[in-house]
Amino acid sequence: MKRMVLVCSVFLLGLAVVFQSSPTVAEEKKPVKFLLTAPLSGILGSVPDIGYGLMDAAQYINDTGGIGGRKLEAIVEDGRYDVPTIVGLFNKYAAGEPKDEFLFFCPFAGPALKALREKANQEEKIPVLGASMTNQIFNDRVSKDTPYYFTTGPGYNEQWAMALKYIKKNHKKSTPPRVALHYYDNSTGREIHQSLRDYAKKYGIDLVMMEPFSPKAQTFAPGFLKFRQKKVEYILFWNWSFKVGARYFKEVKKYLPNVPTYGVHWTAANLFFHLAGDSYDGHYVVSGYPLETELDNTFIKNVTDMAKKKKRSIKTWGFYLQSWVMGQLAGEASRQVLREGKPLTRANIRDALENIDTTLTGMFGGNKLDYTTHKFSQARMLRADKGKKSLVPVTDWVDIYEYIK
Amino acid sequence: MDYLIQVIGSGIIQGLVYGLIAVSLVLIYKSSGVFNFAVGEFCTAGAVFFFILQSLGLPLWVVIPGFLLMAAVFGGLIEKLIIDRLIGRDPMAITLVTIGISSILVGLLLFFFGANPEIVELPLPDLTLEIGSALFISSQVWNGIIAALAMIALLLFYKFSTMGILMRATADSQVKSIVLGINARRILTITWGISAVVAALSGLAVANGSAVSYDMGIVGLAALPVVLLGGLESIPGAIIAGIIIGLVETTSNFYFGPWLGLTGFQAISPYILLLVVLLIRPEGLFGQELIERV
Amino acid sequence: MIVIEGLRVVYRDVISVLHGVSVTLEDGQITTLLGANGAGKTTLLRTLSGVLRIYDGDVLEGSVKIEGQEVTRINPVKIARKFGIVYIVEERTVFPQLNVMENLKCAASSRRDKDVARDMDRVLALFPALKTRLHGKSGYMSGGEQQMLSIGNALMTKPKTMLLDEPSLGLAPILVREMFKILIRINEEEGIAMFLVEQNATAAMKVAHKGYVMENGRVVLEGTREELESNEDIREFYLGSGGEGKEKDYRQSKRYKRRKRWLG
Repeated sequence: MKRMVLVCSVFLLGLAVVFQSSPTVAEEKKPVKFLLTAPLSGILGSVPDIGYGLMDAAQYINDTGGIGGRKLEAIVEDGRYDVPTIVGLFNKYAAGEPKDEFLFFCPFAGPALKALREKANQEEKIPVLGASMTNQIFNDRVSKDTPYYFTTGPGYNEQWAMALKYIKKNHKKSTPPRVALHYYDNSTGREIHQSLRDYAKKYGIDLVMMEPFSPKAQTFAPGFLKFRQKKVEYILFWNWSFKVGARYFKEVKKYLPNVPTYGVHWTAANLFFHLAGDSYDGHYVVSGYPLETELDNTFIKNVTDMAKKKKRSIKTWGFYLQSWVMGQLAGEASRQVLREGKPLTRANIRDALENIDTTLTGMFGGNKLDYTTHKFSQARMLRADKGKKSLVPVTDWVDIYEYIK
Repeated sequence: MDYLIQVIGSGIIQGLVYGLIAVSLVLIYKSSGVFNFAVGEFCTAGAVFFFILQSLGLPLWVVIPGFLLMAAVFGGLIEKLIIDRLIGRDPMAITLVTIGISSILVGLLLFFFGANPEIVELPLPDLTLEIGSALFISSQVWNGIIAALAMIALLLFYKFSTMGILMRATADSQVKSIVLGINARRILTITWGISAVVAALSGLAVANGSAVSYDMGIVGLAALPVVLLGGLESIPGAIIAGIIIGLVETTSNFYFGPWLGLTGFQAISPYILLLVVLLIRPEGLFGQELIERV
Repeated sequence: MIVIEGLRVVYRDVISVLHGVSVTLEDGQITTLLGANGAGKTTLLRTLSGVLRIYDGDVLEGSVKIEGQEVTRINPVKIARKFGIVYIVEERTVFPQLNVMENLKCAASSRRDKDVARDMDRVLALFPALKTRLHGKSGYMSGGEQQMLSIGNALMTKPKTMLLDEPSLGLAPILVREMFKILIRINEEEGIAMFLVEQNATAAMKVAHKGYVMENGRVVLEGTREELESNEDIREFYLGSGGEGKEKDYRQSKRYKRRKRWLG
């Protein structure tokens, strides 16, 4: 009996040793980890599509060869659009994960991007593909101040400038257009104010007022009533909460049925037709992304094929596409590092991103992505059409810097 | 001038809804000395019940009594399962328990209802009111009507119906009710049920034309200055205080805030008023003086 | 008939208040319970009516049997309704925020018969002073009026037994006389038994058929009215007369010298 026990324990011990070692075998299988702290609950509501986008892009990368044999692994946590939660999760992974595996991060909240400036760029030095396109970070100094930060869209200031230019171009009356900003009351909501004033002055637009709204409020009527009183002709709706947007479109049509609303990236979603019904009709939005219905766009074709394969029922295509792009960028940048014969480190990935050579499988109608500014530069103006129950483009793809000159 | 009509009208309607939430609180406080911190969740639950019934495709005349009934059962169950077991304890202790109930309810709502808000719209005839440039959209007008009718119905019920008189008697003294053969515990359960019904109506008014979401319960906090201002034991006090607070909020939002250059001033203005009043009259405007014979 | 035997009651598990009390209440009779403050009289009434638990009290030993049924574990609402026991508490069983009519309505709320309106008229006829105060909050009425309303409420429950806790407290002597006259009338006309707890021994003795005396949680004497009235100790300590029926003044009483002849 005693001998049996001895033999068994030696056997088990041996097995353990065998599995512990073989470093060469483990090395090849080490995943490339991308942490995404998505809003799955909290003030922005629940948007699981954000998580799916990254997961499905990772699968796409892995299906097409992976990263030199290594798999891209999407890790999705609930960041709740809450800075302390997001920072806490990031710290946990930064401390617990090996630095040659944990190579990409997305906080998915502008305020969190700001909160983690030092930690991500000086301490951890980890490539961050953010969702927020805030000009407070993505400006001329980005390569010096926050070299590891990249965003997946044109800068907010540029998007709003395009909206203002479009308004001015299409304004029929002889008096300057009377425009009001209705903004989500937080730091991101306030950061575009100065740029807006500057561009309004440049184009000859009367920026009548800037009215905040609290995302927790059940009604936006106080702002609407003021707009009515001041005879506002165009409303700039600065919001990124999908929860808030649905209510907003319904209510604005009750108070100001003849005043068009303008938005950027975050209010471009066909889902609003489903939630707010016909009241989404006539909303104008600047977007750096193609629509999920444009199947002649090869990027969109890839994405929709994968979504169909995974049997996803995507509600918020804008979010899905954005986090997909993050995953695809992560994969392509990593491959570029390996193609150049360099080791896959965080620093090398950063350089590869800044100098990336890709069209993102035709996302911008074939134009290449110029990531030297750390943000995208291609955009279009879309309009919500209730007949088609979809957004439709009212301009071609333009270089946004050229458009807003 | 039109602006003033807008401000006053919106203030009164908003105040009526606040007042309704406050009435729900007063009913429970009067009968058991407990401040129901879960009142916001009672409102949310009511709106959720309405949404569920409506999405089943039932006609309005079924949905309305249906969701009220669900709310009554909900309130009665909470009382029977939790509060009843604490009878005889210090009301402050039970009040703390309601904080716990509030957290649990939020969690349950998140779990069963989901994190996404759902738009709620009462399919009622269009009563949009335009007076010059002042605009009162239909759902707003209806909210005011619903709140006003609910308050009147409750006042009449509480003052004149047998059950109302019994509720007031047990609120006075449970022991005296018991020795006269009145089943005070059952009346307490019924009180919570009615309080939940009132909260459900206010929840519907809050969600109407907007959305119901699992964390809508924050509106309950808005009723806090109202109850304290009106005195915790007076139903008419709650109604009047509600209207006052509603007017304070809208005048702050449209006049005082811009004058002082502050945004969001309307959120704290009720508390400033409350502070001033409580310094002068700690039991609130209409608080009950204990009738004590020396 | 109500039989209480060997009752031991504590408050909050530690304060022992009744140390073995036995009392019998006959149907239709007025029984009085005399005793100084702290003797345990109110506790006895609370136990009998079933509300002891509300005051954090517990029955350690003994039994309370109404019509042969043990009631110490029964919920008080049931005791009130099923056995017709109504407890007029020391603070008056009156709802101060309600007016007179509302009070009476509440008291009658557990009844299902059709005589409610008629009984209300009878109560108002019995206490005509209440008619003048019909619509104000009853808390503002005088002590005497509240007591009348209290008895009126009790009557509205159509009781078989009334428990009265010091009804004469705070009332002027003329009102006390009036009240006791009414109690006698109720007892004779309706056959309602009464358990009358009092400190005003003189008045109580005039109406009771039999009585008990309690001190420090024990019954120390029992007897019919005549027996009690003739008992020297009763007369000295409770009725205020010394020895041969003459009134003793305070200086002469020398209480420290005189021991009561009962153990307690």
